[in-house]
Amino acid sequence: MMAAIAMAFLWLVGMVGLLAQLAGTAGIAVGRKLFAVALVIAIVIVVMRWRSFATRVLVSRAAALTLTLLLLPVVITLFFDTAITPLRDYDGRVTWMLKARAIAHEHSMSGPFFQGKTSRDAHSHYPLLMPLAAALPLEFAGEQNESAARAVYALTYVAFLLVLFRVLCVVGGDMAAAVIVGCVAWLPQFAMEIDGGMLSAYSELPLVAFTTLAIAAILDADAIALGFSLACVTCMKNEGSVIAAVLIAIAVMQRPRMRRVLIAAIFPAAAMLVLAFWRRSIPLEHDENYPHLAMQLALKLRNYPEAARELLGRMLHVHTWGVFWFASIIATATGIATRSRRATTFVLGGAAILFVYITSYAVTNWTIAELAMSSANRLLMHLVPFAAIVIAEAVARYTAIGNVSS
Amino acid sequence: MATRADARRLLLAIAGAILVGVNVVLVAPGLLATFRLAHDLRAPSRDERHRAVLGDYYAAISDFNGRIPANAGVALIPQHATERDVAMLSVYQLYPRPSRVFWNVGDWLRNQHDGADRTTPRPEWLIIFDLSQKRPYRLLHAEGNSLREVASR
Repeated sequence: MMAAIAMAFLWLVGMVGLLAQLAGTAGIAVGRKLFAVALVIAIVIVVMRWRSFATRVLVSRAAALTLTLLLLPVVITLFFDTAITPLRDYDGRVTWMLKARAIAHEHSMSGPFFQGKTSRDAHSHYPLLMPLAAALPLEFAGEQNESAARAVYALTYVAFLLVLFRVLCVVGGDMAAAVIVGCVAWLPQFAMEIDGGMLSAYSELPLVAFTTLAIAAILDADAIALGFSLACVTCMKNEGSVIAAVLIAIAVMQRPRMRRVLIAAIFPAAAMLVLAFWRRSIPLEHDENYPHLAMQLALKLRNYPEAARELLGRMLHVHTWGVFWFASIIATATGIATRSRRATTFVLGGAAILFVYITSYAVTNWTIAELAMSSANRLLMHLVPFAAIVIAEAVARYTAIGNVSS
Repeated sequence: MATRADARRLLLAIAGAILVGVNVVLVAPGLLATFRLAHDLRAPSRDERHRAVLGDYYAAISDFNGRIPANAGVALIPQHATERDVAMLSVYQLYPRPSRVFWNVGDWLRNQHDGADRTTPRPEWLIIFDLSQKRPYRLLHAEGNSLREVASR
Protein backbone atom coordinates (compact mmCIF):
# COMPACT_ATOMS: atom_id res chain seq x y z
CA MET A 1 0.00 0.00 0.00
CA MET A 2 2.78 2.43 0.95
CA ALA A 3 4.61 1.65 -2.29
CA ALA A 4 1.41 2.32 -4.25
CA ILE A 5 1.04 5.71 -2.56
CA ALA A 6 4.72 6.40 -3.29
CA MET A 7 4.22 5.58 -6.98
CA ALA A 8 1.12 7.77 -7.08
CA PHE A 9 3.12 10.65 -5.55
CA LEU A 10 5.87 10.31 -8.15
CA TRP A 11 3.22 10.32 -10.88
CA LEU A 12 1.77 13.54 -9.44
CA VAL A 13 5.17 15.24 -9.30
CA GLY A 14 6.16 14.02 -12.76
CA MET A 15 2.82 14.82 -14.38
CA VAL A 16 2.72 18.36 -12.95
CA GLY A 17 6.34 18.92 -14.03
CA LEU A 18 5.79 17.58 -17.56
CA LEU A 19 2.53 19.49 -18.12
CA ALA A 20 4.10 22.71 -16.82
CA GLN A 21 7.14 22.11 -19.06
CA LEU A 22 4.88 21.62 -22.06
CA ALA A 23 2.73 24.66 -21.27
CA GLY A 24 5.74 26.84 -20.48
CA THR A 25 7.42 25.89 -23.75
CA ALA A 26 4.21 26.78 -25.59
CA GLY A 27 4.33 30.23 -23.99
CA ILE A 28 1.45 29.68 -21.56
CA ALA A 29 1.89 31.41 -18.18
CA VAL A 30 3.14 28.94 -15.57
CA GLY A 31 1.07 30.40 -12.75
CA ARG A 32 -1.50 29.29 -10.20
CA LYS A 33 -4.16 28.54 -12.82
CA LEU A 34 -1.89 26.28 -14.82
CA PHE A 35 -0.60 24.49 -11.74
CA ALA A 36 -4.16 23.95 -10.50
CA VAL A 37 -5.21 22.49 -13.87
CA ALA A 38 -2.06 20.34 -14.05
CA LEU A 39 -2.66 19.05 -10.53
CA VAL A 40 -6.27 18.14 -11.30
CA ILE A 41 -5.22 16.32 -14.51
CA ALA A 42 -2.47 14.51 -12.58
CA ILE A 43 -4.90 13.44 -9.83
CA VAL A 44 -7.40 12.13 -12.40
CA ILE A 45 -4.67 10.11 -14.15
CA VAL A 46 -3.38 8.75 -10.83
CA VAL A 47 -6.90 7.66 -9.84
CA MET A 48 -7.38 5.99 -13.24
CA ARG A 49 -4.07 4.16 -12.89
CA TRP A 50 -4.39 3.29 -9.20
CA ARG A 51 -4.87 -0.41 -9.93
CA SER A 52 -1.50 -0.61 -11.66
CA PHE A 53 0.21 0.96 -8.62
CA ALA A 54 -1.59 -1.33 -6.19
CA THR A 55 -0.18 -4.54 -7.67
CA ARG A 56 0.06 -6.83 -4.70
CA VAL A 57 3.57 -7.61 -3.47
CA LEU A 58 3.62 -10.02 -0.53
CA VAL A 59 5.58 -8.59 2.39
CA SER A 60 6.10 -10.57 5.60
CA ARG A 61 5.68 -8.90 8.97
CA ALA A 62 9.40 -9.34 9.69
CA ALA A 63 10.40 -7.60 6.44
CA ALA A 64 7.91 -4.76 7.02
CA LEU A 65 9.24 -4.29 10.56
CA THR A 66 12.87 -4.34 9.39
CA LEU A 67 12.13 -1.75 6.70
CA THR A 68 10.20 0.47 9.12
CA LEU A 69 12.91 0.36 11.78
CA LEU A 70 15.61 1.15 9.24
CA LEU A 71 13.75 3.98 7.49
CA LEU A 72 12.14 5.72 10.45
CA PRO A 73 15.20 7.55 11.87
CA VAL A 74 16.19 8.74 8.39
CA VAL A 75 12.71 9.88 7.41
CA ILE A 76 11.97 11.65 10.72
CA THR A 77 15.27 13.57 10.52
CA LEU A 78 14.62 14.43 6.87
CA PHE A 79 11.14 15.85 7.55
CA PHE A 80 12.29 17.70 10.66
CA ASP A 81 15.19 19.28 8.76
CA THR A 82 12.97 20.15 5.78
CA ALA A 83 10.37 21.87 7.97
CA ILE A 84 12.76 23.87 10.15
CA THR A 85 16.38 24.18 9.01
CA PRO A 86 17.20 26.49 6.08
CA LEU A 87 18.54 24.99 2.86
CA ARG A 88 22.33 24.91 3.10
CA ASP A 89 23.63 23.11 0.03
CA TYR A 90 25.40 24.89 -2.85
CA ASP A 91 23.71 24.00 -6.17
CA GLY A 92 20.32 23.75 -4.50
CA ARG A 93 20.54 27.47 -3.78
CA VAL A 94 22.71 28.64 -6.68
CA THR A 95 20.88 26.60 -9.33
CA TRP A 96 17.78 24.50 -8.68
CA MET A 97 15.78 26.30 -5.98
CA LEU A 98 16.66 29.68 -7.50
CA LYS A 99 15.08 28.48 -10.76
CA ALA A 100 11.97 27.34 -8.85
CA ARG A 101 11.70 30.76 -7.22
CA ALA A 102 12.17 32.47 -10.59
CA ILE A 103 9.37 30.38 -12.13
CA ALA A 104 7.08 31.23 -9.20
CA HIS A 105 8.03 34.92 -9.43
CA GLU A 106 7.82 35.36 -13.22
CA HIS A 107 5.18 32.67 -13.88
CA SER A 108 7.31 31.61 -16.81
CA MET A 109 10.23 29.35 -17.70
CA SER A 110 11.43 31.70 -20.43
CA GLY A 111 11.04 35.04 -18.62
CA PRO A 112 13.69 37.71 -17.94
CA PHE A 113 15.50 35.50 -15.38
CA PHE A 114 15.86 32.65 -17.86
CA GLN A 115 16.92 35.11 -20.57
CA GLY A 116 19.80 36.11 -18.28
CA LYS A 117 18.47 39.69 -18.04
CA THR A 118 18.09 39.95 -14.26
CA SER A 119 20.01 37.62 -11.95
CA ARG A 120 22.51 34.86 -12.46
CA ASP A 121 20.84 31.85 -14.14
CA ALA A 122 23.40 29.08 -13.61
CA HIS A 123 23.27 26.29 -16.19
CA SER A 124 20.49 27.95 -18.15
CA HIS A 125 19.81 24.88 -20.32
CA TYR A 126 19.28 22.43 -17.46
CA PRO A 127 15.89 20.67 -17.69
CA LEU A 128 13.35 22.16 -15.29
CA LEU A 129 11.03 19.34 -14.18
CA MET A 130 11.95 19.56 -10.49
CA PRO A 131 12.05 23.40 -10.30
CA LEU A 132 8.62 23.39 -11.98
CA ALA A 133 7.24 20.86 -9.49
CA ALA A 134 8.80 22.83 -6.61
CA ALA A 135 7.31 26.06 -8.00
CA LEU A 136 3.79 24.71 -7.40
CA PRO A 137 3.94 25.01 -3.57
CA LEU A 138 5.82 28.30 -3.93
CA GLU A 139 2.96 29.68 -6.05
CA PHE A 140 0.43 28.87 -3.35
CA ALA A 141 2.48 29.16 -0.12
CA GLY A 142 4.53 32.21 -1.12
CA GLU A 143 7.72 32.61 -3.09
CA GLN A 144 9.93 32.80 0.02
CA ASN A 145 8.51 29.62 1.56
CA GLU A 146 11.54 27.44 1.04
CA SER A 147 10.27 24.63 3.28
CA ALA A 148 7.15 24.15 1.13
CA ALA A 149 9.29 23.62 -1.97
CA ARG A 150 11.73 21.40 -0.08
CA ALA A 151 8.81 19.20 0.98
CA VAL A 152 8.47 18.10 -2.65
CA TYR A 153 12.10 16.94 -2.63
CA ALA A 154 11.77 15.21 0.76
CA LEU A 155 8.60 13.32 -0.23
CA THR A 156 10.18 12.36 -3.56
CA TYR A 157 13.09 10.81 -1.68
CA VAL A 158 10.83 8.79 0.61
CA ALA A 159 8.78 7.73 -2.44
CA PHE A 160 12.00 6.56 -4.10
CA LEU A 161 12.87 4.33 -1.15
CA LEU A 162 9.39 2.76 -1.13
CA VAL A 163 9.30 2.18 -4.90
CA LEU A 164 12.80 0.69 -4.71
CA PHE A 165 11.50 -1.65 -2.00
CA ARG A 166 8.65 -2.75 -4.27
CA VAL A 167 11.06 -3.37 -7.17
CA LEU A 168 13.51 -5.32 -5.01
CA CYS A 169 10.68 -7.41 -3.49
CA VAL A 170 9.90 -8.65 -7.00
CA VAL A 171 13.57 -9.37 -7.76
CA GLY A 172 15.01 -10.73 -4.52
CA GLY A 173 12.22 -11.24 -2.00
CA ASP A 174 10.90 -9.02 0.79
CA MET A 175 13.61 -9.46 3.43
CA ALA A 176 16.47 -8.87 0.97
CA ALA A 177 14.55 -5.82 -0.31
CA ALA A 178 14.13 -4.43 3.21
CA VAL A 179 17.84 -4.80 4.00
CA ILE A 180 19.05 -3.35 0.68
CA VAL A 181 16.65 -0.39 0.88
CA GLY A 182 17.75 0.16 4.49
CA CYS A 183 21.35 0.17 3.28
CA VAL A 184 20.54 2.68 0.53
CA ALA A 185 18.64 4.97 2.93
CA TRP A 186 21.64 5.00 5.29
CA LEU A 187 24.26 5.51 2.57
CA PRO A 188 26.35 8.50 3.72
CA GLN A 189 26.10 10.00 0.22
CA PHE A 190 22.29 9.90 0.46
CA ALA A 191 21.62 10.53 4.13
CA MET A 192 24.34 13.01 5.09
CA GLU A 193 25.92 14.62 2.04
CA ILE A 194 24.85 18.27 2.04
CA ASP A 195 25.47 18.59 -1.72
CA GLY A 196 23.25 16.11 -3.53
CA GLY A 197 21.94 14.10 -0.57
CA MET A 198 18.44 13.96 0.87
CA LEU A 199 18.84 17.27 2.73
CA SER A 200 19.62 19.15 -0.47
CA ALA A 201 17.51 20.54 -3.33
CA TYR A 202 19.55 19.02 -6.14
CA SER A 203 17.75 17.09 -8.90
CA GLU A 204 19.95 14.04 -8.26
CA LEU A 205 17.64 12.07 -5.98
CA PRO A 206 14.49 12.87 -8.00
CA LEU A 207 16.36 11.56 -11.06
CA VAL A 208 17.16 8.35 -9.16
CA ALA A 209 13.52 8.15 -8.01
CA PHE A 210 12.12 8.33 -11.55
CA THR A 211 14.79 5.92 -12.80
CA THR A 212 13.52 3.45 -10.18
CA LEU A 213 9.92 4.14 -11.26
CA ALA A 214 10.94 3.30 -14.84
CA ILE A 215 12.56 0.05 -13.66
CA ALA A 216 9.32 -0.83 -11.84
CA ALA A 217 7.48 -0.26 -15.13
CA ILE A 218 9.93 -2.55 -16.96
CA LEU A 219 9.34 -5.32 -14.40
CA ASP A 220 5.56 -4.77 -14.65
CA ALA A 221 5.78 -4.73 -18.49
CA ASP A 222 3.74 -1.51 -18.41
CA ALA A 223 4.63 0.45 -21.55
CA ILE A 224 2.69 3.62 -20.65
CA ALA A 225 4.22 3.79 -17.17
CA LEU A 226 7.66 3.20 -18.69
CA GLY A 227 7.16 5.93 -21.27
CA PHE A 228 5.92 8.38 -18.64
CA SER A 229 8.81 7.69 -16.23
CA LEU A 230 11.36 7.96 -19.02
CA ALA A 231 9.91 11.31 -20.10
CA CYS A 232 10.33 12.47 -16.48
CA VAL A 233 13.90 11.12 -16.35
CA THR A 234 14.68 13.02 -19.58
CA CYS A 235 13.23 16.29 -18.26
CA MET A 236 14.93 15.95 -14.85
CA LYS A 237 18.62 16.34 -15.72
CA ASN A 238 20.83 16.30 -18.82
CA GLU A 239 22.08 12.85 -17.81
CA GLY A 240 18.45 11.69 -17.95
CA SER A 241 18.62 11.26 -21.74
CA VAL A 242 21.46 8.76 -21.33
CA ILE A 243 19.66 6.88 -18.56
CA ALA A 244 16.42 6.81 -20.60
CA ALA A 245 18.23 5.34 -23.63
CA VAL A 246 19.83 2.66 -21.44
CA LEU A 247 16.51 1.80 -19.77
CA ILE A 248 14.85 1.38 -23.18
CA ALA A 249 17.66 -1.02 -24.14
CA ILE A 250 17.15 -2.89 -20.85
CA ALA A 251 13.39 -3.07 -21.48
CA VAL A 252 14.05 -4.57 -24.90
CA MET A 253 16.48 -7.12 -23.45
CA GLN A 254 14.30 -7.97 -20.45
CA ARG A 255 11.06 -8.30 -22.35
CA PRO A 256 11.74 -9.42 -25.88
CA ARG A 257 8.02 -9.76 -26.49
CA MET A 258 7.30 -6.33 -25.18
CA ARG A 259 6.72 -4.70 -28.56
CA ARG A 260 5.15 -1.80 -26.77
CA VAL A 261 8.62 -0.70 -25.67
CA LEU A 262 8.63 1.23 -28.92
CA ILE A 263 5.49 3.04 -27.78
CA ALA A 264 7.26 3.81 -24.48
CA ALA A 265 10.24 5.24 -26.37
CA ILE A 266 8.00 7.86 -27.99
CA PHE A 267 7.50 9.63 -24.62
CA PRO A 268 11.16 10.47 -23.87
CA ALA A 269 11.72 11.30 -27.55
CA ALA A 270 8.83 13.79 -27.37
CA ALA A 271 10.22 15.16 -24.09
CA MET A 272 13.60 15.71 -25.74
CA LEU A 273 11.92 17.58 -28.60
CA VAL A 274 10.05 19.83 -26.15
CA LEU A 275 13.31 20.48 -24.27
CA ALA A 276 15.14 21.27 -27.51
CA PHE A 277 12.37 23.67 -28.54
CA TRP A 278 12.48 25.44 -25.14
CA ARG A 279 16.29 25.65 -25.22
CA ARG A 280 16.14 27.48 -28.55
CA SER A 281 14.69 30.48 -26.71
CA ILE A 282 17.19 30.39 -23.81
CA PRO A 283 20.77 31.73 -24.08
CA LEU A 284 23.37 29.19 -22.92
CA GLU A 285 25.00 30.37 -19.68
CA HIS A 286 27.47 28.84 -17.26
CA ASP A 287 27.45 25.47 -18.94
CA GLU A 288 29.52 23.34 -21.23
CA ASN A 289 28.34 22.54 -24.72
CA TYR A 290 28.68 18.76 -24.53
CA PRO A 291 27.61 17.98 -28.12
CA HIS A 292 30.35 20.37 -29.25
CA LEU A 293 32.89 18.87 -26.83
CA ALA A 294 32.03 15.34 -27.96
CA MET A 295 33.19 16.30 -31.47
CA GLN A 296 36.70 16.72 -30.01
CA LEU A 297 36.66 13.23 -28.50
CA ALA A 298 39.44 11.94 -30.76
CA LEU A 299 41.79 14.62 -29.40
CA LYS A 300 41.04 13.75 -25.79
CA LEU A 301 41.29 9.97 -25.75
CA ARG A 302 44.35 10.16 -23.52
CA ASN A 303 42.12 11.64 -20.78
CA TYR A 304 40.14 8.39 -20.39
CA PRO A 305 42.39 6.69 -17.80
CA GLU A 306 42.34 9.74 -15.52
CA ALA A 307 38.59 10.23 -16.03
CA ALA A 308 37.90 6.57 -15.22
CA ARG A 309 40.19 6.68 -12.17
CA GLU A 310 38.50 9.82 -10.81
CA LEU A 311 34.98 8.42 -11.20
CA LEU A 312 35.43 4.73 -10.38
CA GLY A 313 37.94 5.35 -7.60
CA ARG A 314 35.27 7.09 -5.58
CA MET A 315 33.23 3.87 -5.41
CA LEU A 316 35.81 2.59 -2.95
CA HIS A 317 35.48 5.54 -0.54
CA VAL A 318 33.95 3.77 2.45
CA HIS A 319 33.14 7.02 4.29
CA THR A 320 30.90 8.05 1.34
CA TRP A 321 29.50 4.73 0.15
CA GLY A 322 30.01 2.25 2.99
CA VAL A 323 30.55 -1.18 1.44
CA PHE A 324 27.69 -0.74 -1.07
CA TRP A 325 29.85 -0.85 -4.20
CA PHE A 326 31.93 -3.75 -2.83
CA ALA A 327 28.66 -5.66 -2.41
CA SER A 328 27.68 -4.70 -5.97
CA ILE A 329 30.94 -6.08 -7.34
CA ILE A 330 30.41 -9.40 -5.52
CA ALA A 331 26.79 -9.44 -6.72
CA THR A 332 27.91 -8.76 -10.30
CA ALA A 333 30.28 -11.74 -10.13
CA THR A 334 27.48 -13.91 -8.69
CA GLY A 335 25.04 -12.78 -11.39
CA ILE A 336 27.48 -13.53 -14.19
CA ALA A 337 28.54 -16.88 -12.63
CA THR A 338 24.91 -17.99 -12.32
CA ARG A 339 24.10 -16.69 -15.83
CA SER A 340 21.41 -14.38 -14.58
CA ARG A 341 19.93 -12.56 -17.57
CA ARG A 342 18.49 -9.84 -15.35
CA ALA A 343 21.76 -9.19 -13.49
CA THR A 344 23.77 -9.17 -16.72
CA THR A 345 21.34 -6.74 -18.34
CA PHE A 346 21.43 -4.28 -15.44
CA VAL A 347 25.22 -4.56 -15.10
CA LEU A 348 25.60 -3.78 -18.82
CA GLY A 349 23.14 -0.89 -18.46
CA GLY A 350 25.05 0.56 -15.50
CA ALA A 351 28.36 0.10 -17.32
CA ALA A 352 27.01 1.93 -20.38
CA ILE A 353 25.95 4.89 -18.22
CA LEU A 354 29.35 4.89 -16.47
CA PHE A 355 31.10 4.90 -19.85
CA VAL A 356 29.15 7.99 -20.97
CA TYR A 357 29.95 9.75 -17.68
CA ILE A 358 33.65 8.88 -18.01
CA THR A 359 33.53 10.23 -21.58
CA SER A 360 31.99 13.49 -20.36
CA TYR A 361 34.92 13.82 -17.93
CA ALA A 362 37.41 13.01 -20.69
CA VAL A 363 36.14 15.76 -23.03
CA THR A 364 35.51 18.46 -20.43
CA ASN A 365 37.34 21.78 -20.52
CA TRP A 366 37.54 21.67 -16.72
CA THR A 367 40.38 20.06 -14.81
CA ILE A 368 39.14 16.46 -14.53
CA ALA A 369 40.06 16.12 -10.84
CA GLU A 370 38.26 19.39 -10.02
CA LEU A 371 35.12 18.34 -11.91
CA ALA A 372 35.18 14.90 -10.27
CA MET A 373 35.48 16.44 -6.83
CA SER A 374 32.24 18.34 -7.30
CA SER A 375 30.25 15.77 -9.29
CA ALA A 376 31.59 12.18 -9.22
CA ASN A 377 29.69 10.99 -6.16
CA ARG A 378 26.50 12.58 -7.46
CA LEU A 379 26.89 10.78 -10.79
CA LEU A 380 27.44 7.49 -8.96
CA MET A 381 24.11 8.06 -7.19
CA HIS A 382 22.36 7.53 -10.55
CA LEU A 383 23.65 3.95 -10.63
CA VAL A 384 22.34 2.96 -7.20
CA PRO A 385 19.01 1.48 -8.43
CA PHE A 386 20.91 -0.62 -11.01
CA ALA A 387 23.34 -1.89 -8.37
CA ALA A 388 20.52 -2.55 -5.87
CA ILE A 389 18.76 -4.77 -8.41
CA VAL A 390 21.96 -6.68 -9.13
CA ILE A 391 22.47 -7.25 -5.38
CA ALA A 392 18.84 -8.39 -4.92
CA GLU A 393 19.16 -10.73 -7.91
CA ALA A 394 22.38 -12.19 -6.46
CA VAL A 395 20.60 -12.84 -3.15
CA ALA A 396 17.75 -14.57 -5.00
CA ARG A 397 20.19 -16.75 -6.97
CA TYR A 398 22.26 -17.56 -3.90
CA THR A 399 19.18 -18.56 -1.91
CA ALA A 400 17.84 -20.61 -4.84
CA ILE A 401 21.14 -22.53 -5.13
CA GLY A 402 20.93 -23.21 -1.40
CA ASN A 403 17.38 -24.49 -1.69
CA VAL A 404 18.29 -26.76 -4.61
CA SER A 405 21.42 -28.19 -3.01
CA SER A 406 19.71 -28.85 0.30
CA MET B 1 20.85 -30.33 12.20
CA ALA B 2 21.71 -27.28 10.17
CA THR B 3 21.45 -27.75 6.42
CA ARG B 4 23.56 -26.07 3.76
CA ALA B 5 20.60 -23.79 3.04
CA ASP B 6 20.59 -22.67 6.70
CA ALA B 7 24.29 -21.91 6.47
CA ARG B 8 23.69 -19.82 3.34
CA ARG B 9 20.89 -17.92 5.06
CA LEU B 10 23.17 -17.21 8.03
CA LEU B 11 25.88 -15.97 5.69
CA LEU B 12 23.37 -13.69 3.93
CA ALA B 13 22.16 -12.35 7.29
CA ILE B 14 25.75 -11.52 8.28
CA ALA B 15 26.37 -9.87 4.88
CA GLY B 16 23.17 -7.83 5.27
CA ALA B 17 24.14 -6.74 8.77
CA ILE B 18 27.55 -5.58 7.53
CA LEU B 19 26.00 -3.82 4.52
CA VAL B 20 23.62 -1.81 6.71
CA GLY B 21 25.73 -1.68 9.88
CA VAL B 22 28.70 0.09 8.28
CA ASN B 23 26.39 2.82 6.96
CA VAL B 24 24.58 3.21 10.28
CA VAL B 25 27.91 3.64 12.10
CA LEU B 26 29.05 6.21 9.51
CA VAL B 27 25.78 8.17 9.34
CA ALA B 28 24.25 8.00 12.85
CA PRO B 29 26.35 10.79 14.44
CA GLY B 30 25.63 13.18 11.56
CA LEU B 31 21.97 12.27 11.47
CA LEU B 32 21.70 12.91 15.20
CA ALA B 33 23.46 16.27 14.78
CA THR B 34 21.03 17.20 11.98
CA PHE B 35 18.08 16.26 14.17
CA ARG B 36 19.47 18.24 17.12
CA LEU B 37 20.07 21.29 14.94
CA ALA B 38 16.46 21.26 13.72
CA HIS B 39 15.27 20.67 17.29
CA ASP B 40 17.26 23.65 18.58
CA LEU B 41 16.00 25.87 15.76
CA ARG B 42 12.30 25.10 16.14
CA ALA B 43 11.58 28.09 18.41
CA PRO B 44 13.50 30.99 16.77
CA SER B 45 12.01 33.05 13.94
CA ARG B 46 12.73 32.25 10.28
CA ASP B 47 15.28 35.05 10.09
CA GLU B 48 17.06 33.93 13.26
CA ARG B 49 17.21 30.35 11.96
CA HIS B 50 18.84 31.53 8.75
CA ARG B 51 21.35 33.68 10.66
CA ALA B 52 22.21 30.76 12.95
CA VAL B 53 22.77 28.28 10.11
CA LEU B 54 24.11 30.38 7.24
CA GLY B 55 26.45 32.59 9.26
CA ASP B 56 27.43 36.25 9.17
CA TYR B 57 27.11 36.72 5.42
CA TYR B 58 23.36 36.12 5.68
CA ALA B 59 23.00 38.87 8.30
CA ALA B 60 25.10 41.32 6.27
CA ILE B 61 23.24 40.69 3.02
CA SER B 62 19.88 40.99 4.81
CA ASP B 63 20.98 44.34 6.22
CA PHE B 64 22.17 45.60 2.82
CA ASN B 65 19.03 44.34 1.11
CA GLY B 66 16.94 46.52 3.43
CA ARG B 67 19.00 49.61 2.55
CA ILE B 68 18.89 49.34 -1.23
CA PRO B 69 15.81 50.79 -3.00
CA ALA B 70 13.24 48.22 -4.18
CA ASN B 71 14.04 46.67 -7.59
CA ALA B 72 17.48 48.30 -7.78
CA GLY B 73 20.12 45.91 -9.13
CA VAL B 74 23.19 44.87 -7.15
CA ALA B 75 26.71 44.00 -8.24
CA LEU B 76 28.25 41.25 -6.12
CA ILE B 77 32.04 41.54 -6.23
CA PRO B 78 34.23 38.93 -4.53
CA GLN B 79 37.79 40.18 -3.99
CA HIS B 80 39.36 36.71 -3.91
CA ALA B 81 38.51 33.27 -5.30
CA THR B 82 37.58 32.11 -1.78
CA GLU B 83 34.66 34.57 -1.69
CA ARG B 84 33.09 33.54 -4.99
CA ASP B 85 30.77 30.97 -3.45
CA VAL B 86 29.43 33.45 -0.91
CA ALA B 87 28.81 35.96 -3.71
CA MET B 88 26.91 33.38 -5.75
CA LEU B 89 24.87 32.23 -2.77
CA SER B 90 23.93 35.86 -2.16
CA VAL B 91 22.10 35.86 -5.52
CA TYR B 92 19.67 33.33 -4.01
CA GLN B 93 19.25 35.36 -0.86
CA LEU B 94 18.66 38.61 -2.73
CA TYR B 95 16.22 37.17 -5.30
CA PRO B 96 13.95 38.62 -6.74
CA ARG B 97 16.24 41.65 -6.57
CA PRO B 98 18.36 41.62 -9.78
CA SER B 99 21.94 40.73 -8.86
CA ARG B 100 25.06 40.06 -10.88
CA VAL B 101 28.42 38.58 -9.99
CA PHE B 102 31.46 40.55 -11.22
CA TRP B 103 34.94 39.20 -10.63
CA ASN B 104 36.39 42.66 -9.77
CA VAL B 105 35.56 46.37 -9.81
CA GLY B 106 37.22 46.75 -13.23
CA ASP B 107 34.76 44.21 -14.67
CA TRP B 108 31.93 46.13 -13.02
CA LEU B 109 33.11 49.38 -14.68
CA ARG B 110 33.00 47.60 -18.06
CA ASN B 111 29.69 45.86 -17.15
CA GLN B 112 31.39 42.51 -17.72
CA HIS B 113 29.51 40.30 -15.29
CA ASP B 114 29.62 36.49 -15.45
CA GLY B 115 26.36 36.21 -17.43
CA ALA B 116 25.85 36.37 -21.18
CA ASP B 117 23.31 39.21 -21.44
CA ARG B 118 25.02 42.63 -21.12
CA THR B 119 22.12 44.74 -22.39
CA THR B 120 21.10 45.83 -18.88
CA PRO B 121 23.20 48.77 -17.54
CA ARG B 122 25.59 47.96 -14.71
CA PRO B 123 24.06 48.13 -11.21
CA GLU B 124 24.62 51.26 -9.12
CA TRP B 125 24.84 49.32 -5.87
CA LEU B 126 27.84 47.15 -5.07
CA ILE B 127 28.45 44.58 -2.37
CA ILE B 128 32.16 43.89 -1.89
CA PHE B 129 33.16 40.54 -0.35
CA ASP B 130 36.59 40.49 1.26
CA LEU B 131 36.99 37.96 4.04
CA SER B 132 40.56 39.13 4.75
CA GLN B 133 39.24 42.45 6.07
CA LYS B 134 37.86 43.32 9.48
CA ARG B 135 34.57 44.17 7.77
CA PRO B 136 34.23 41.35 5.22
CA TYR B 137 31.07 42.75 3.56
CA ARG B 138 30.70 46.36 2.42
CA LEU B 139 27.89 48.12 0.59
CA LEU B 140 28.88 50.83 -1.89
CA HIS B 141 26.82 53.17 -4.04
CA ALA B 142 28.05 54.60 -7.33
CA GLU B 143 27.63 58.38 -7.40
CA GLY B 144 28.98 59.95 -10.56
CA ASN B 145 32.56 58.76 -10.94
CA SER B 146 33.04 57.79 -7.31
CA LEU B 147 31.91 55.03 -4.98
CA ARG B 148 30.43 56.01 -1.62
CA GLU B 149 30.37 53.47 1.18
CA VAL B 150 27.00 53.08 2.88
CA ALA B 151 27.44 52.62 6.62
CA SER B 152 26.08 49.41 8.13
CA ARG B 153 23.48 49.47 10.87
